[in-house]
Parts: sequence; C-alpha cells; structure tokens
Amino acid sequence: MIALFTTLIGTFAVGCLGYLVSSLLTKKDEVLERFGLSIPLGFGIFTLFIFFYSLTGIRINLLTMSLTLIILLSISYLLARNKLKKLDRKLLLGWTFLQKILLLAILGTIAVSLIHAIYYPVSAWDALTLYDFRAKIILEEGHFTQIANNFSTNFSYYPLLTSLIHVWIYSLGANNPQFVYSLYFLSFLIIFYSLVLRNSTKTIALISTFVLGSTPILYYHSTFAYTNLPYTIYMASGLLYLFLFLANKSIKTLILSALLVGLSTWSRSAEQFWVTPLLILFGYSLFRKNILPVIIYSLVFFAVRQPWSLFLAGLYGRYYSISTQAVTAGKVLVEGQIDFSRLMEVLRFVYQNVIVGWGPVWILFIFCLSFELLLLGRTKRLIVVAVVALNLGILIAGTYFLGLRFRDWRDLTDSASRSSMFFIPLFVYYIGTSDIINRLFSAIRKRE
Amino acid sequence: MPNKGGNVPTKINFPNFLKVVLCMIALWILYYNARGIVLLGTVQHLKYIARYPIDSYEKKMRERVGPIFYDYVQFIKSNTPEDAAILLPPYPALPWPQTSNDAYMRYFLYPRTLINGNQFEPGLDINKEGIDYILIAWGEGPNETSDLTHGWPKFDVPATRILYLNGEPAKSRDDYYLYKDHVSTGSWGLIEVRK
Repeated sequence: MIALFTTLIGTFAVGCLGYLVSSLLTKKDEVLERFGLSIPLGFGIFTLFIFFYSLTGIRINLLTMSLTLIILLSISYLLARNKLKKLDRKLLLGWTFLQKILLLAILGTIAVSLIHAIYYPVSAWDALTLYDFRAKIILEEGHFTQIANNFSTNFSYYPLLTSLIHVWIYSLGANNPQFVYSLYFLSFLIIFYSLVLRNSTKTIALISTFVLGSTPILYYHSTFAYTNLPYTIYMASGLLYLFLFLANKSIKTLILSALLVGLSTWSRSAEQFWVTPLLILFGYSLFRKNILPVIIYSLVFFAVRQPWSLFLAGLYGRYYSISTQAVTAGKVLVEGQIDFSRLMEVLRFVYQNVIVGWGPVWILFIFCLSFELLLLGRTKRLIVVAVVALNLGILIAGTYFLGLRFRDWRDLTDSASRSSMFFIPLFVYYIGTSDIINRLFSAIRKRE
Repeated sequence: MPNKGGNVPTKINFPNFLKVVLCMIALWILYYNARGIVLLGTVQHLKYIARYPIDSYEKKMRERVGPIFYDYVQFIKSNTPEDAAILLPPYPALPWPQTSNDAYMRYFLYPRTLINGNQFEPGLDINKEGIDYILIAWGEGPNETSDLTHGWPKFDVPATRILYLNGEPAKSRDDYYLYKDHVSTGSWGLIEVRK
C-alpha cells in the first residue's frame, strides 16, 4: 500500500514537472494540451538530468533523484507560475452522445492497456535483455556511465530514458514500471486530440484519436516496456508541433518541437529521422531568408541529443558520431557505390514490412492527399507530405546502409516495423485535418 | 439527354460517391484495428486476468516466458552460487532460443558469468576459463536445424555432481556426464564440473 502511494506521488510529481515546462511553451488556454505533454516532457527532462548528474559521479538513488526533481520543480514553478490556468471543470458540457461514446471508447482502450501493463510483469524480450536489466543494475550499483564498460556493447548502445524511468519507479517501491507506458500512450492521445482539434471539429478529432488509439501496433506497445512507443510519441509530437510552427511562426512552438524531437533521440538514438525537421527548417530559413528558427531549433535539439552521443563516442569511439556516419554515407554516394539490385531488395523489404503494416490508414492518407492536390489544388499541407517522403527516404537509406554492415538485415522485419510506427500518427493527423473529411462530415450533419 | 424509356438519367452525385468510398475505407480501418487488437490475444489475456486477478509474480512470469524455461532458470539459480561461471548452449540456436541467449539468461542469473559453448565440444578450455557449471538443456524451442538439434551438451563432462530438474535418465552416472546416456531423454539439469 505504501509502495502504491509513493509510486503515485512520484509519478504525479514528474507529471507536474512536465506540466510546468509545457506551460512555458504553450498558450494559457491550452490546458488539455499541457496535460498531454506533462508525462512525456516530465519523464524526458527528469531522466536527462539524472543522466547529467550521474556523469559527475554522483550516485543514482532515491535521495539524489528526489532532490533533482524538487530542484527542477522549483525552477520551473518560478518560471511558469504566471502562466498557469485552472482546468475548466465544464469540460464535458455540451458534448453529443456520439462524442461521449467516442471518449468512452478511447478511455476504454487505455484502461485495457493499463490493466495489461500492470498485471503482467516485465517480460518482453528486449526489456529483459536490456532496458529493465539496466535499470536493476543501476538501482543496485548506483551508477551507469562508470560501469558501462563492464558489460557488452549492447548494454550502452541504447539511451537511458526507459531504464531511468524504471529506476525511478523501482526506487519508489513499485515492482512493475510498465504502467508508465500506458500513461505515455494516454498522454499522446491527449496531445493528438488537442492538435487535431485546432483544425477540425470535436467529433472528427475524437474519431481520429480513437483510430490512433486502437491502431494495433501502437496499442500493443503501450502494454510492455520497449523504447519504441516513447520514441514514436516524441518524434510524432515533435513533427506535429513543427507543422504548427510553420503555420503560426511561434518560437515557443518551435522550441517545443525541438525539445520533443530531441527527447526522441534520448529514447532511441539509432534512428536518424531527427534529420528531417532540420532539413525542413533549413529549407524554411532559405525561403524566408531568416536563419533564426533553424538556429533556435538546433540549439535546443542538440542540447538534448549531444550529451548521450558524446558519451557513446567516448565509450566506443568515433563510429557513433554524426560526422563519421555522414562521411561514410557520403563516400558511398560520391564514389557511386550504390548497388541497385540491393536497393531494389531494400525497397521490397520496406514495402512488405513497413508500408503494408500501416494498413488502410495509409490508403486513406493517399486518398485524402490526392483529393486535396488534384481536386482542390491545395498545396499548403504539402509540408506533411514532405516530412513523410523525407522520412521514408531516410528509412530506405538507413536500411540500405545497415545491409552493408549487417549480413542478416533481412531478418529485422519486426525492428523495421517498430522503427516506423511514428508515421501512423502523421497519416491520421493529415486525414483528421483534411478538407475532404471535414466537408463531408459537415454535409452529413447538415442533412441530419 | 433522355434514355430510351423517356426518363432523364440521374446525375452522379459526386459527394455521395466520395461518402460511400470514405465510409468503406473507414469501416475497413475499424475492422483492421479491431482484428489486429483481437489477434494480439487481448481478449484471452483479459479472460486470464479476470480468472486469476491475484496471481504471484512467479505464476505470471511462467505464463509469459514459458513454464519450461522459467522452472529451469529458477532451478539453475537455486543450485548455483552467485559467483559461478556457467557454460550455456551454442548461440544463436533454434532449439535453445532462451537458454543460449546470455543477455536473456543474465536477467535471471546475474551476477553469474555466462559463456556460450559449442554443440559438440565446449569451445574453450573449461578448467582454464574457470567454468563451474554446464547446463544440461534439452531445448525449450520446438524447432531444430540440420546442424543444431535438441539435447546439450553433446560431449562428455567429468562431474562432481549432476542435478536433474525432471528426473534422472536410467543409465546415467553421478561422476561423469556421458552424452550417450542422454540422447533423446529430454533431460534438463546441471553439471557441476569436476576440476
């Protein structure tokens, strides 16, 4: 009972940190969005600071983690206290029967996910071989960076977000940290709903959120301790806020986007999709003749990404640094070493293991895109398409280069599918905010 | 233009056609998602949880990682000291997807040292490397390949003692693990290596 109480308090405190940070970067009336951002930002920033202080040799234990949290909470409260607003208690007033049913369906999905996550112990393969094992070692030893060399390369290859979340939850007395993944999922659905609602009706926003929440691969990952769901949430949210910045030009939105994409690399660092927002912003800066956005974004993003990257490079050598990987890729391209038969094989692999897995949401995305482009002549939302296309290009290129180094790359079907989970929220967002969907819904309502 | 019957043909209502297509895709998405969630075993898991709402950690882990593997790894844990060095079956290998994976075994057996051997010989000098125990692992996986089959070790080992999880084969010795006595016996156990 005490463990339950301390776990709830500890999780709530981290959520408060995230809420306060989000208050600095969102408008006062965006309370629901702030709630959605609280868990991802809270755990992301908290665990990042645990990593920072552990680099200096300070032990990771309940005392040092709690002190860190208190300091972070104090600083963020001092900065955000004038930007707070109470939640409107009349939130559900004026909702139609359909809207309430959709809300129940969404909450039902989360409830089933939470039951599953709480009931079963940590038992998924990678959680046992790495993420949760690392947490138990850190809990026992009180260190990570100082002992990382005592284990195999795999031990340090993945960043520490999920392992440190587990450390925090275990140190509070809980014996199962998996509920955090269901919380992450709930948070993401709230963020998603809020963002779709800005450009759509409440009913469509709820339908889109339900479609997202019931997407099998996303729902599945909310029930166990892998890094893929947090990565998906950070990357997808970061990209959605990037779209928002390109529309509203708010620097705070840009900073939020950079922070979220940065935290995606704190969850998983092997994937190179973080390049896409930088490329988009470079293009934007050239077009607008304003270099400030790309500078601000880069400062925030690299402040989050680089510490772990530098740690890895220090431990395992320059192979893990961006510059070395970029040079390797550049050499292959410049020297014309592309093997086109291998490239075709990679394209087939991506189609069979990624694109087919997206299911009918992908078809509807193409349908809505075609309608907007061909029939309405709309080009404003092409940025979403550009992001999807760039990321698809990175996925194909990444798979190709992986195949050069790793003979059994064709066996990594599940890994490819998991790495590209973040495309699905982008598709559903595009569909939910598309003209055709909104027009047809309005037409149906008028006839009723 | 009127058709032969004299009636003016109805114009195709473009929005209605789109509505039909969109509704069909929407239903397809709902079906795809629902089917996907059901195929994940969600309903069976919920039934299991409803049937056994309060189960021990051990029972739940047995259900998740497999009873054969879980019982065996607990057997190893309770019969070896924490500073032991243990030789595992060869990796990667279909008959031993879990017991040959040192990272997977590490979760249950840390801080014991875990090293992979080969199928027909240890693959290292047992005494020089300080191997204290060698697993007797039939294999929790159902599959085999042409060169990796159930039953390990497929080499003889001098033993201080031999412990079995599920009963001793009829023709076994206490002081020597002989592979010929364990062919097709389905044995699970532990050899304490005689130094």
